[in-house]
Amino acid sequence: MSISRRGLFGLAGGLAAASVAGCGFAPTGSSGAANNSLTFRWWGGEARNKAYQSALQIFTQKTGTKVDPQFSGYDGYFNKLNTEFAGGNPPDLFQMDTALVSTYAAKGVLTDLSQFIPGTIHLDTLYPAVRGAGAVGGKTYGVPSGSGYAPVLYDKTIFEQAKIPAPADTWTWDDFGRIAGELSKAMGQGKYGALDASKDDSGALQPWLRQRGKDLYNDEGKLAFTKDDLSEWFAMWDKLRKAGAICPPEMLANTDSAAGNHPLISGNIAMTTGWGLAQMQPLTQHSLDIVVVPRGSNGKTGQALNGGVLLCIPAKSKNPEAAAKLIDLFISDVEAIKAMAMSRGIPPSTKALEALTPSLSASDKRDVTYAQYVADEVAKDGLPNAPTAPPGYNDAKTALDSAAKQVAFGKMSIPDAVAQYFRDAEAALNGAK
Amino acid sequence: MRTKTAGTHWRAHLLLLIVLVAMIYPMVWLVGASFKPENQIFSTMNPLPLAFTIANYVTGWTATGNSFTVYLANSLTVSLCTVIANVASCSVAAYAFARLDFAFRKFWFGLMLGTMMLPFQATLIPQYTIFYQLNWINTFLPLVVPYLLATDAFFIFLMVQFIRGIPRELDEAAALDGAGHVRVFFSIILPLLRPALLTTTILTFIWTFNDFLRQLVYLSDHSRYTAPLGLNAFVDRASGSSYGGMLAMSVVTLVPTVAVFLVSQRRLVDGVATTGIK
Repeated sequence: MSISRRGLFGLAGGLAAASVAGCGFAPTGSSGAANNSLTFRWWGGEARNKAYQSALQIFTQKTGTKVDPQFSGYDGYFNKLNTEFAGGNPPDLFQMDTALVSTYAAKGVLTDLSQFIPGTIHLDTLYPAVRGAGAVGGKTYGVPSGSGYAPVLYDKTIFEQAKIPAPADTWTWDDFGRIAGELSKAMGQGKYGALDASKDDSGALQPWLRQRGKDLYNDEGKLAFTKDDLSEWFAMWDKLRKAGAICPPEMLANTDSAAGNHPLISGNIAMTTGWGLAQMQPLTQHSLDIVVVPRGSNGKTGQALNGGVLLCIPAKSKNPEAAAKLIDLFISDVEAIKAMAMSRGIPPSTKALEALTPSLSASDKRDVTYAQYVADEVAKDGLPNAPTAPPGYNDAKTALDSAAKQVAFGKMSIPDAVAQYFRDAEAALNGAK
Repeated sequence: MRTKTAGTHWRAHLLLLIVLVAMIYPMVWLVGASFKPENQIFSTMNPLPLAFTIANYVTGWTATGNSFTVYLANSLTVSLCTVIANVASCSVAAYAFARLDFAFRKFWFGLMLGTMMLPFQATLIPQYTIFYQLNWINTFLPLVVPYLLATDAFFIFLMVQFIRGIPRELDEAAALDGAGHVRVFFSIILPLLRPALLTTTILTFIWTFNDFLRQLVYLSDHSRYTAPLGLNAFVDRASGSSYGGMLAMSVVTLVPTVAVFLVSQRRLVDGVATTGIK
């Protein structure tokens, strides 16, 4: 028996030693939040993580409430969150994708923040255009922590090499086509002036529609444009495609993430929609710059400020009052705004920009001045704010992507693709209700 | 059988070499890119770092809130505990299925194999609810304790097949000498089971070390994060990813699994080859 005993003791001893060494087996206690603590979940890169954490320190100093910061990358973020919502243990405050807020609100798992406005959350410090970013059905379910904008990102180095002047911010869609065509010629075989943006809903189609007084969706969550609009949109890109001004559809395979195989980084195109300097500039030695999306013939930019990311409080939050206070710190506390500076995205208020401007680096100034410029242009446009993305939005987005690619690959005529989009998108939007 | 000429050898080697290059290129690229400055990672074609820098390793080690020392230690703790739990419980369960006679044995065996077809996603939420009620969230317990209950059907099956290949006469001889099931298990079966135990050890280690979703769901506190969760924190599609740090730390994270594989490569193959397939 001696061997077996030794074996058994070895096993037991090994387990005990490992658990002592690990120290990861005892509960942390943070999951059962008491009155003076709060769990806050977000996804973000290195910069955002540091920015949020410095704001949390200020929050703890000011209110005495301890915050347990829980951050990760975007991959798996919503898998984990959905599991926790289903298991009845969501975080007390979390960062939300603007595109998903209406879906979560419809399921009744979010707190209506209206009760905290304006007492705790000073929503009126934000730009008027982003105040409604988390509004669903007349209630406010999320507050933006930054403002987003979708410029045209272009490769300044290629423009200089081709001796073509950089686009002016007064440019129109006609200018865009002409410049893209000139670039294609100057850049040579297999390279193209611009990305085919016919599939880009928020970065290209939405401003184009808003320039004509329409939008992607209306407040009821239905499509707010007609088949004729979409036919004209596809026809405009088809003409550019046939003229060789924009890239062929094969190049669209790697355009969904800011990575090295994006055609702008690999130098195959010189202009793209949907991306900003912060994501792309670190990946290339070329110098990049941003310019507003081409204007309509009436001079309107059609830009829609969006909330970037939102902060939401789950209905089962253990400490909604403290969570609301933390939301307010993000949008209106000057000390926190200065601590976070630009690393959480463009701050969505004039107050924040004024607090920051004296201490910014050159490239940050570029982002800030552009954001301020867009905010001013949005005001000049005088258009209604863009409604929150409705439930089913993601499937409608996929439908546009698919229809646009069918046209680009020549698999479908424009009228067929338009009909397919309207069928799929309407089914997605109605089905999600 | 005709002897092969030097020519065919040469051709076979060339083919193998080409396949090798194709398979090892991503690794070379990964290691090379981890020593490049961030803005050259994607914009230069050459996989070798011409502007050599170790900055990615220095900054990447602590860039995600906690140091990678903590993440690696956590990963190793979880992996080693899972290995011990899995080996101990699966071998006992396999002995029962292979040697003991009990009611509805075939039915239970089939049911056990059936759990292999149950996708992890299907049990995720019920499991989460149970572990939440036990107050085990944010600890390693949900990652390790289930394995003490012999829940990894694949390894039970592997060992059952192995034990079936051990002659029953050995058990019977021991039984004649007065050995009970416990003695037979520890003195006869367990020593002979060693190749299968090694396979289980190695595969469990590698799979647990590389696991992402389970660890993501159960661990929230950064002091509890494992290496895959640490790596994930580098990637953010919205605010920009720091690829340099991520690639450097990927190389570091690969070291334990590659080391385990290299040390045990031959035994791993032995264990699988002598199991079941006749």
